[in-house]
Order: sequence, then structure tokens, then C-alpha cells
Amino acid sequence: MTSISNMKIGKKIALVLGAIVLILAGLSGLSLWGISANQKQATLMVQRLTKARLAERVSGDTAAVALNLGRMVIAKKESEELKNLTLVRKKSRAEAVEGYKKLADSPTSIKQGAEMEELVAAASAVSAKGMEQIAAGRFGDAERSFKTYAAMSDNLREKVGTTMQYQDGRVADSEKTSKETSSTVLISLIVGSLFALVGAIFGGIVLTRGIATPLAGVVTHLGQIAEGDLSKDASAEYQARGDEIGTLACAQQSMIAALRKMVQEISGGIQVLASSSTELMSSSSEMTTGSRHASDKAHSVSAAAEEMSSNITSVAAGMEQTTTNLSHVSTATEQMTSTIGEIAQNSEKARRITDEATKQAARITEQIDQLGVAAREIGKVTKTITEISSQTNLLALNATIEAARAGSAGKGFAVVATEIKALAQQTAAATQDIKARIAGVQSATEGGITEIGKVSQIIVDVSAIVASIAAAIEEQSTATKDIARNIAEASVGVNDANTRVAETSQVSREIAKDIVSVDQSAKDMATGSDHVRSSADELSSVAEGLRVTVARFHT
Amino acid sequence: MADTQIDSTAQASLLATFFVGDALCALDAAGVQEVIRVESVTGVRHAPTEVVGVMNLRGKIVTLLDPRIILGLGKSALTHESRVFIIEDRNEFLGILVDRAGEVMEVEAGQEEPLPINIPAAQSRFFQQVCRVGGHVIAVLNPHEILNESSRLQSGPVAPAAN
Repeated sequence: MTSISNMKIGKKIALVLGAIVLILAGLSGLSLWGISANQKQATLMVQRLTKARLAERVSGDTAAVALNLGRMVIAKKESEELKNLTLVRKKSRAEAVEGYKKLADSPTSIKQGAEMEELVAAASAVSAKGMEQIAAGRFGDAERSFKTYAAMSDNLREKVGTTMQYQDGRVADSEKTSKETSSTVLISLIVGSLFALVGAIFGGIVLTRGIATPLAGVVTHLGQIAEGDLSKDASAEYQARGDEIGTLACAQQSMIAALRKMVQEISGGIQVLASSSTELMSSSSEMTTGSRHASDKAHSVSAAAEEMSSNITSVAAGMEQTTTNLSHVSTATEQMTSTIGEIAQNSEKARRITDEATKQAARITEQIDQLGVAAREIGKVTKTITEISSQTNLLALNATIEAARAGSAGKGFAVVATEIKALAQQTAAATQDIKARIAGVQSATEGGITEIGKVSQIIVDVSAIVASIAAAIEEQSTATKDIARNIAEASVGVNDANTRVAETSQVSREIAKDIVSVDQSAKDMATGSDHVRSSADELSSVAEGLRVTVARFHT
Repeated sequence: MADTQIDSTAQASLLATFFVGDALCALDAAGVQEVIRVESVTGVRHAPTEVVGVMNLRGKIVTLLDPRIILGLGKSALTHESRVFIIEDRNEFLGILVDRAGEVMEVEAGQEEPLPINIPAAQSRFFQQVCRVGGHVIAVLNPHEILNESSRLQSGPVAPAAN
């Protein structure tokens, strides 16, 4: 019994099924033998019946030839049609004889075939003779031939009748043999089937005992496990078995262990789930509060965005004003640029004129200098003249004195001396006059030089001023160009700013829209968090249910 | 010569006028040898202050005197108008340095006047008389007194050396 227990279920089933299959194979072989034997008998029967029919055909054909011959004899003329018919019949008869000879297998039938052939050959010769006689018009001979032929035909018919009887007897034998074989096979099949039935019942009982009983025990245990009782271990007896039952018992044992562990883990998980759902509830409450808060914030942001939008609109208006003003400034700057260009040209002209004036003043100064030099030279000459007159005067004085010392004799000389003195004094006076005039000329020259110098200085100053004006105008021009460029840039910048403001306005509108979406989202979030809280509630109750469910498992 | 001068005063005399400072002074023309320009003057060391220096006049040594110092009018400044009136006194030539030479004027008899009395005696001895000619008042110097004064002054400091 132990060896059977340790045998694999597959092997057990194979054993039982193999025995049954062997029995069935035997039965099948028997059946096949029976069928083949019956088939053989049937073939024999068909051959015999064919031979009988062929023999009958030989007889028939001979009779027909005789009939045709007879008809021609009676008619006493050769009929082409009947001749042809006769030839056909003869041909058919020859074929039948040939077929019979082919099928003949037993000595009896061979002998009968040979006899039939001889008879046919004889008859054929007679008929051929008769035909010739008919053709030759010797109908008397032909009639005799016909009579001979008819006798031969009757003889042949008798022979054929014997043959047919023999063949019928053989067919009956075959039928009998076939019936006997069939009954033998039937009995054998019934007996074999009974054996197979008995073997199957025995094998089934053995298999049921080896498989079903332990499986029932396992199912009972599994039912207990399903009820939540994990305290019992799998049967040690079954676990010790080497077959699939043993494997099943081991798997059951490991399943129980795994389930115990799993239940413990699920218990822990449920506690975690319970606390988590509690936390989730509080979180969802906070989230609800937070989303309400976010909604409030979104409202205030929306108000701010609207205010921003209105501000941007006023900024845009201001920018428009700025653009207009900038275009005014640009026009004014262009006018200023052209004016500055004219001023620059004029200042350039003034610079040229002052240069010319400076040069002119320098030339005048030079000429006046030359005049001064000439005056100084004249002064030198007057000095000489003065000296001469002074000496002349002194000489006259001495002459006078000398004349006075000479007394009355010197009176005439004294007169001359007095005249000389007078001349000297006139010369001195004239010289003084010239000197004074020269001094006047010199002082006037110096004054002129000073004045010219002042004028020159003034011209230089004017030139410097004009130069500085030109420089200033240049700077102004540069500055104006800068201003124009800056205004252009400012204009571009203002245009940019306009675009930006427009974009900003657009963006602020979008922001307002987005804020509405945010508000909606916050509301949705609040609703969602409410859902979450109810879900957490449900989760909590689910955890409680799970805890109750798991509590049913006592490990 | 002094005699002739005195003699001539009886009828008419000629005065060689000059300026000492602003004052119009004169010398008797008969006593004047000649009038020259101030040329190279050689200073004399230890000489009295009124002696400007000595000049070489055609080989004769002329002692140059400054009447302004003698008259207590301060030192004269040499200009191109400065002139020297050469007079001879006891075979010695003296030069009177004046600021400017004037004209030779003829003085009729009766045009002379005595010196004003309010002039101190110490000063009045240098003047002979005062003449009124053509609206001008001319102080006629006494060359002898000037020379004496010069000699007195000269003898003061020089005397010890001479002795």
C-alpha cells in the first residue's frame, strides 16, 4: 500500500488506463480479424456470383446467335443486320468466356471453364459454317447447321446450369463461414468488455482511495481556513507522502504560514490605514481651509488685477500723450538743428572776418610802430638842433659878455651877439615846438598803438568768443543731434512701451481670467477636498471593517 | 676890474643873469670871464661841502662852487641846463654852478636898490644890490663875499693841514 501511496497519481492513472487499453487493443485486434475474414468471404461470394452471371451470359449469347441464325435460315436470305448482331453476340460471348477463365480459381471451376470453352468453340465453328452456307445460299445445309447449333446451344445451357448451381452452393458456404466468424467475434468482444469494465472499476476504487480521500481532507482544512481558522497545521501524514498529495499538503502548510504572516501584516497595515485615513481627514480639512483661503486671495488678486488693468489703461493714455509730445519735441528739435546750422555758418563767417581784422590790426600796428620809430628819429634830430641852439645861445652869451668887457668898442659886436642870441632862442623855441609836436605825435602814436592793441585784443577776444560760440554751437549741434537721436530712441522706447503696455494689458486680462480659473480651481479643490474627507471617512470605516474581518483570523 | 665895475655903475652896467633855484640872480658881466657847460668834474676829497669839485678849462684849474649851499638852499642837481660862470679872483679861477643861464641885461643908473632890511645880515653880505629890470627883480651877487666865505670855510678844515 505504501508503494502505491508513494507512486505519482499520473503513474497510477497510467497503470489503470494501460491495463484497460491493453484489453481494448486485444478486442480491437479480434474485431479486425473478424472483419477481414468476413471481407474475404464477401469477396469470394462476389467472384462466385460474377462467374455464375458470366456463364449465364455465355449461354444467353449462344442462344441469341442461334436465334439470329434461325431467323436467317427461316427467312432464307442473308441479313446484314442479323449478321452484325450475331458478330456482336459472338464477341460478347468470347469476352464472357475469357472473364470466366480469369476468375476461375478452384479446380472445379477451371474444368467447367474449359468444358464451356470447348463447347463454345465447337458452336462457333458450326455457326460460322452456317453463316457461310447462308451466304452461299445453301439454305438446306444451313438449316442443318442451325439444328446442330441449336442442339449444341442446349447442351451448353445445361452445362452452364450445372456451373451456376455449383457457384450458388459455394456462395452459401461462404455465407455460412461468415456468420460463424461474426458470432465468434461478438462473443469475444462481450467477454473482453466485461474484463475491461471490471478492471476499470477496480482501478477507480484504488485511485479514489489514493487521491480523493486525502483531497477531501485538504478541502475540509481549506474550508476551515476560509472560515478564518489558521491555527491548524496540514496533516503530517500527507506531508510525508511522496506523491502530489504530499506536495499539496506541503504547499498548504506553506500557504497557511504565508497567510498567518499576511494576516499579521494586514493587521499592522490596517492600523496604519486607520491612522492614515485620520490624518488624511485632517489634511483634507486643512486643504479645504487652504483652498477657501486661496479663493479669498484669488478674489483680492482679481480686484488688484482689475485695478492694475485700469492703471495700465491710464498709463497707455499717458503714453499716447507722451508720443504726441515727443513728436512735437522732434519737430522742434529739427527746426533747432537747422537754426543751429545757420548759426554755425554765421559764426564761421564771423571767425573769418575777425581773423582778417586781426591781421589788419597787426598790419596797422606795424605801420604805427614805423611811424613811432620815425618820430623818435625826428626827436633825435631835434635834440641835436636843441643842442646846437643851446651852444649857439651860450656862444652868444659869451660874446655879449665879451662885448661888455670890451666896453664901448664892443658895442657893435654886442648887437651881433644879441641877434645871434635871438636867432638861437628862436631856433630853440622852434625846436621846442617841433619837440612838443613830435612828443604829441609820439604820444598819439603810442596811444594809437595802445588803442590798436586794445582793438586787436578786442578782435582776438571777439574771435575767441566767436570760436567759443562756434564750439558751443558745435556742442549744441551735437547735443541737438543727441537730443534728436535720444528722442528717436525715446520714441522707439515709447512705442515699445506702448506695445508692452498693450501686452501687459492683455496679460493682466489673461491674469484676471486665470485668477477666475484659479478661483474655480480653488473651489473645485475645496469640493475635491470635501470628497477626499468623505472618502477618508469611508476609508476609515473600511479600515474598521477590515480590522473586524482580519480579527476573524486567529493565528 | 672891480673898480671899473664900480665905475660903470655910475652910468649903466651889464648884468649876466642866472637862476639859482627859482631866484633870478646876477653877476656883473665885466667880472665874468666866460660861461661854460658843466663838463668832467673831479671831486676833491675833504673839500668843504660848497666845493663841488675842480674842472680843467683849457689848462687852467677851475674850482667849482655851489652857491645854493652857500646861500643855504641845499645841494644843486646837475642838469643839462646847468652852467658854470667863470670868474677870476686873485689869479685864481672859480666856477659858480648855476641851474640855468639867463640873459645879459643892461641896468640903467637908478635902477639899483638897496637890499631889503628884513634879510638877515648873515645872508645880506652875499648880495651887492637888487635891481629891477623889466618887471624882474634881480639879486646881484657879491662875488668877493662868496669867495671869502668859500675861503673861510675852506680855511677851517684845511688850516690845520696847512699849518
